[in-house]
Amino acid sequence: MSHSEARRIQAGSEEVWTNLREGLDVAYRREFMSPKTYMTLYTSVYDYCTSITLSTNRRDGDERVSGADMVNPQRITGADFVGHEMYQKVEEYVSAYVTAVREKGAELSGEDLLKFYTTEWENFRISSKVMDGIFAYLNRHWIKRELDEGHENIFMVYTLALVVWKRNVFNELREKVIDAMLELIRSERTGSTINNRYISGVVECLVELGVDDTDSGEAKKDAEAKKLSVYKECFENKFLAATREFYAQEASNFLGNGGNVTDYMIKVETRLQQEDDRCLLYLNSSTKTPLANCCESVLIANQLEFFQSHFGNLLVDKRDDDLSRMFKLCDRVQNGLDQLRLSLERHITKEGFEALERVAQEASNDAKLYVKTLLEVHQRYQMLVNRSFKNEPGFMQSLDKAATSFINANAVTKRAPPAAQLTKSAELLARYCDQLLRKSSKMPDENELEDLQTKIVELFSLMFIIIYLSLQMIVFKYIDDKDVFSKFYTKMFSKRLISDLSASDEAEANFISKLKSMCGYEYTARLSKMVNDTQVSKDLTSDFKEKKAHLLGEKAIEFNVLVLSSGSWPTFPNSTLTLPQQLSSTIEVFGQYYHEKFNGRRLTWVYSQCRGEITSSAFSKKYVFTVTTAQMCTLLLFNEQRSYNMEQISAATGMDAKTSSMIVGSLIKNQVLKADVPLQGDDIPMNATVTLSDSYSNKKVRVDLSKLSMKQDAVRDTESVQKNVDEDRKSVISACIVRIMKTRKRVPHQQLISEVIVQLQGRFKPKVDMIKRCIGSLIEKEYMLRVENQKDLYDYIA
Amino acid sequence: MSAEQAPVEVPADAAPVAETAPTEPTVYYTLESCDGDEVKISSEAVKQSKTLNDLVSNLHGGAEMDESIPMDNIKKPALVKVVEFCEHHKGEPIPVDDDTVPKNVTIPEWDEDFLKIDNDELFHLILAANYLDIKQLMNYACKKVALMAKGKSPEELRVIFEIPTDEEDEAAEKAAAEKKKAKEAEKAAAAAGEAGPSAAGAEDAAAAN
Repeated sequence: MSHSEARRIQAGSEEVWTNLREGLDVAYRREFMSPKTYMTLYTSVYDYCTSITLSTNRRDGDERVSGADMVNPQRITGADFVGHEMYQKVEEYVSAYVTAVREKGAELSGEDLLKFYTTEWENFRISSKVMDGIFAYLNRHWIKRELDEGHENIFMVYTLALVVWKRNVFNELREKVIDAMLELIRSERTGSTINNRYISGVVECLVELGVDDTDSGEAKKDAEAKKLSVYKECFENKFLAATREFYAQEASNFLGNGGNVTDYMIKVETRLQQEDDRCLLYLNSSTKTPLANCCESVLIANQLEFFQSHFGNLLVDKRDDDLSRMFKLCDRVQNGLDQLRLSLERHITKEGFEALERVAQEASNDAKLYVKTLLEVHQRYQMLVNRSFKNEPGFMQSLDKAATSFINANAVTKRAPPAAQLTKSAELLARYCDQLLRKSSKMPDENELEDLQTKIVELFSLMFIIIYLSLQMIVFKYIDDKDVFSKFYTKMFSKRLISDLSASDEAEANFISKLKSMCGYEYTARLSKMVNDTQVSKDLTSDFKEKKAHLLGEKAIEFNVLVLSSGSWPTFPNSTLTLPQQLSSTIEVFGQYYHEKFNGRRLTWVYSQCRGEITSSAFSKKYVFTVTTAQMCTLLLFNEQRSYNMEQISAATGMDAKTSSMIVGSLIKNQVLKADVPLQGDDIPMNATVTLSDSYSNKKVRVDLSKLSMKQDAVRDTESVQKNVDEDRKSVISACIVRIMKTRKRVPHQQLISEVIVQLQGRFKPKVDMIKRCIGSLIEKEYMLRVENQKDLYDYIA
Repeated sequence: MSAEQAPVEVPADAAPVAETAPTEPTVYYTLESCDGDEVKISSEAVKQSKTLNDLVSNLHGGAEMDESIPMDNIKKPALVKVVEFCEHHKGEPIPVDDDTVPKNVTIPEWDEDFLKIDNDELFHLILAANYLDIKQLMNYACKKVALMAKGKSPEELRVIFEIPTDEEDEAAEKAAAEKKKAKEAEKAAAAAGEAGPSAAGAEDAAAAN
């Protein structure tokens, strides 16, 4: 303690400052300073401040000085250094130093100036930090108090140094410095190598100079923005302007000389990358985004038309890489992709139409070819959107829109008769699904192969079927008239179930579940019920055979029953048929059995869908014929006698004239029967006599005679579906309208129409006309009414 | 349909055995008290004192220094205590003063123990903490003093802090003033070059008081 006492008494104000100034000289000359010197200087500031603490206390009106004053045993009367004086001395010192610096650099320019500035700044910065450390105590006390009281133009010592530099050096030299920087950057852009440090040094300086203005705690939230204000005002704005000019020039030169699109895009990519690197290397990170925006605006946004005009060609030439490039670039600017999306949509639609034109004739009847063509186009562009356009939603939408166009109305659908045009696509798709799900004759017979092999083949087939079905779902998604598809599919599905033609139950279930997830439970409810009925029937049949076999007698025929619940299955044509005794007894027994089990249900036999096998020894060798029931009844007649005339046949079988003539006609076409009168189309005239054909022969032992009539059914199906479509749709629309009215009670006309369209969009696209007609009929039926005196407003009638 | 592949375990490279020695040797600085004794302090602990930290960064960028750092204001006992505090608290962040919120300092257990010293020592500790700008130590030590003063009557405060009464104050002031006068008179007399009765007379008068 005695040391410090002695020190304080001896040190007069001038001496204090002289020592300090010598210390500052060492610091600012960047000479070596020992810790001892540093601490001595620090301590002299400390002493100075602690002595004035008391002086200021006296200023505040406190007259007393404590006798047992441990800090200052004797009052110092001479060393009344006001903090302000020391502060001023510091300021003067720094100003002098800085002015000298300025003068040294006054004549310099360009790279020399930058070298000078960055070097001087770095030295100054380090030296000022040292000074700040030495005067730390002044910072903590006198300066802090001044700041708290809000006095302006008093700063922490380091900040003071920055302010002084800014005022005296920076403001004088800044124009030349900034110009030199911009020139250096320009030369780098044209290929020269530069010394990054010349630029990054100044950038760092600019950022530091930004903190001088508000150092108070209140402006903390703006501090971040303020920090960069000098950098932005003095440098960044000019830099961005220069950048803009440079690249605008470059772009116009290149394009003016007829540069091609690929080269231009590569150039742009390169430049953008370079600027990014530049910013990382020697600019402030806050410039990254404005710089990118500036370049993108000049190089891309201003050239959008150029890009757009070439986009179409790239598509045609299948230049996927270039397309990818263009996408990436245009994606960076706002609205850059809008035009491109439209072009893509137009292009895909055109391609789709053209592809279908090429195969129009064949594909009208070849469902597989039709679907394959659709898929090819779709897949190609799906891949393109995926690879080159990164699955961007807007581009995917373009694909969807285009696909919807060409899948629903194209060269193939136009070839169909006018009534069927809307539904043609759905029909062909359903038909192809049916092909996939049917057992094909190429499938090996189970008896011919070992079980394991069969299973493997089945598994592979299943895999392929499921894959193909998945592809169908792609097309299905775009079909507008999903209800039409449903009708066709249901009909074909029922045929497969009844005739046991499914290649694989698993594949069927798989497809149904796909439909369910896309269209909802309601859509597939019937299909599921149909599957259920089939299962139940299998159980029923085996149960029946176990329990009631004994009732059937010795010559029992082998048979299976399919019980269909009437709501779920398509309607089948009625047919009257008189069964021969072998068949009818079995049917009766089963009927009894069923009524025992399920009291109250009514069974109606649908002979038109039944089929069976009949062995014949009437010809040179034994044959097994697969026939429809009607055919069976007809053939069995020939057990009694060898020839009949048509009327007899009609009477015996119970079929009407038209039906019996069709059935007999089919047998004649199969050459099992012959007639003395030639066929007229598919029918045989009523006066003909029909005989068993002795000379019938066939390579195969097992012959299917039922196929012909099946084909006729198929044609009839198409017609009936199309006829019913409109009727069905009207009911669906009416039901929908009633639902909406019930919920809303009162709905304006336009809103009702749009609601209906939205609600039914998963099934089909209702025409506004049809909706209007349904509204009209609902009004007639008094489900709803027009509100009086209010045009276009409807009320619900509860 | 696709078979699920069991995740394949890729054995990671065996981690190198951890070394017991620290990755970098600790740098130590030497502080020299005003009475000539040396105390070592680690570079990590130095960060607790802003003054020392500034010195180390400004002069040497954190590297080891050959010279010792003189602490002309601090005697050995206080210096040892200060270094002890810094070493214990090394690595901790420096508390930030937020003037908007009323200060609420709680002294942890170790520091309570640490501050169980007599008032003289405590006082010198505070001075040292102020000189070296060790915020945390300032907070705790001043809090301790505040607690000592809390709830006491003026009389008790006088005793604890050895504050003189008003009369004692005035007496001390007078004595100081007289002494000053005497000194000034001496100087004047010396300047005039006349020694003798007037000076002696002045002294007598002073002695009488």
